[in-house]
Amino acid sequence: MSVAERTGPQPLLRVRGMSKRYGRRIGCADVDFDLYPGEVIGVVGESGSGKTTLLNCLSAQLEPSAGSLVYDTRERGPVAVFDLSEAERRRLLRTDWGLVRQNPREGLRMSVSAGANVGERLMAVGARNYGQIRGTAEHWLAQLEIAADRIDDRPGTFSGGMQQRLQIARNLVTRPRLVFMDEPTGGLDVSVQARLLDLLRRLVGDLDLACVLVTHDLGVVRLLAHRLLVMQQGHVVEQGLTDQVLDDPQHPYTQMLVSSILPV
Amino acid sequence: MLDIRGLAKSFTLHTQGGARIRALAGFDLQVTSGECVALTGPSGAGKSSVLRCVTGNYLAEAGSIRVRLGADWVEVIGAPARRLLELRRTTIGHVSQFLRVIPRVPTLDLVAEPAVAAGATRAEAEQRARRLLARLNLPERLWNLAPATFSGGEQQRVNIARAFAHPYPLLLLDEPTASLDAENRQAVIDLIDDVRRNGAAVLGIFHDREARAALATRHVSLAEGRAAA
Repeated sequence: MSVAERTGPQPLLRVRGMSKRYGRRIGCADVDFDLYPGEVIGVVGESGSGKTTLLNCLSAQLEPSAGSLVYDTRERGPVAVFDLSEAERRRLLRTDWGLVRQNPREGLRMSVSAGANVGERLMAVGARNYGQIRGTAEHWLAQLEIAADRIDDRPGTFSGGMQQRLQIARNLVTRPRLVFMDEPTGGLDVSVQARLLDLLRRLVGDLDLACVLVTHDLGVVRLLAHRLLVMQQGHVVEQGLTDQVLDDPQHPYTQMLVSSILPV
Repeated sequence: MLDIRGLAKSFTLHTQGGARIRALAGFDLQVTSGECVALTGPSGAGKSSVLRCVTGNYLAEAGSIRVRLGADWVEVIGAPARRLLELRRTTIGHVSQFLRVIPRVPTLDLVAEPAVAAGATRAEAEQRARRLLARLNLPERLWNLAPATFSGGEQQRVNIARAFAHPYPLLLLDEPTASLDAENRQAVIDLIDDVRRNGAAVLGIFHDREARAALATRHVSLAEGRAAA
């Protein structure tokens, strides 16, 4: 066994003491975790528990009040994300990271075609050959089960589920290693959710994507996440293997959450 | 393959006034390759809790659970999530009482998936999945359908096939023959016995006497969370 195998891979993202305060109100406080390549971590909790604040800090859209965020970049190895210039952070978000928002209209450009939505991110990283861009866009639309004859249509003509799949295609086209998702299946019909979950799970596995997945839906994390963080009032009150946290919850708040699921 | 010492587990029910239920206390068990240990004892004696503590599905509170991984022994209690997932991927096959899978995924893919996760190519994994499903008498017309609409017995066999999709050296079986008719029960018994004879260590709960008599090489009786004399 080599040294690398023995010690395992390095974390892709290392989060320590991440806190965000709004005056005296706590958004999130003292969050610590490591995320490894190919690992999906679910962040659950009720509305107002600080999930989205945490996601915004992790994805460098919100400057935390305290704490460190170290990302293992392809070119330079581990870097402190908030020591990067704003331009460098934006570049990270456009290339090595993806961000899937609950409302696809916020993550898409509604005034341009589906193909352009996907191609745009490629052009942002320097692609110039029109044929190649279109070919790659077609490939990713197909991966997300969007029919090729819709490539020139604007996202406004798509259903909610298709818009969400388009948003995901737009994010994956630059082959990111880390994707942040905020309630990706929220607001979709149940049957549409199942299809999207199935797709996401396959893609995450095939592309070896690491993922931070924020949701209040415990069914979604059971199917997608390897590990869970449970948040209450800005604090992580429990973390562990997903099935362990759901089947043998330790903290009173987690027990309350798990026991509140309606049986089907 | 498996070495459990002084295992303790209790549940504190915070939503029910902090009631405390003790499931296991000071439980010891060793299971070696090529044997099938049947856990016996009344409902609530802690049989399922033992299996769940071994997979890390339940958080054990004291003692030691060591599982052999290649040439090493891995301590399950306190292991990081990644280590537990690695154990499940490569070493521990587990038949739970219920099939819990993503909706919409065809049966053949579900059964091939654990082998792919353990490192097989897709073609190898699919071939193995086909052989298993045929051996478990699951009609071929069902293979390309998702199991959500299958009968209880059909779902159970999909669940079993997943636990045998890779030659795991340790198998944990929680009522593998429940809800099966006689013919299918026999197919499952034969499959488990073959795998054991080929060197797997098997730890199971079999309420079905016939299955237990056919499979167990040793019985361990549990009473109030301990191995009874």
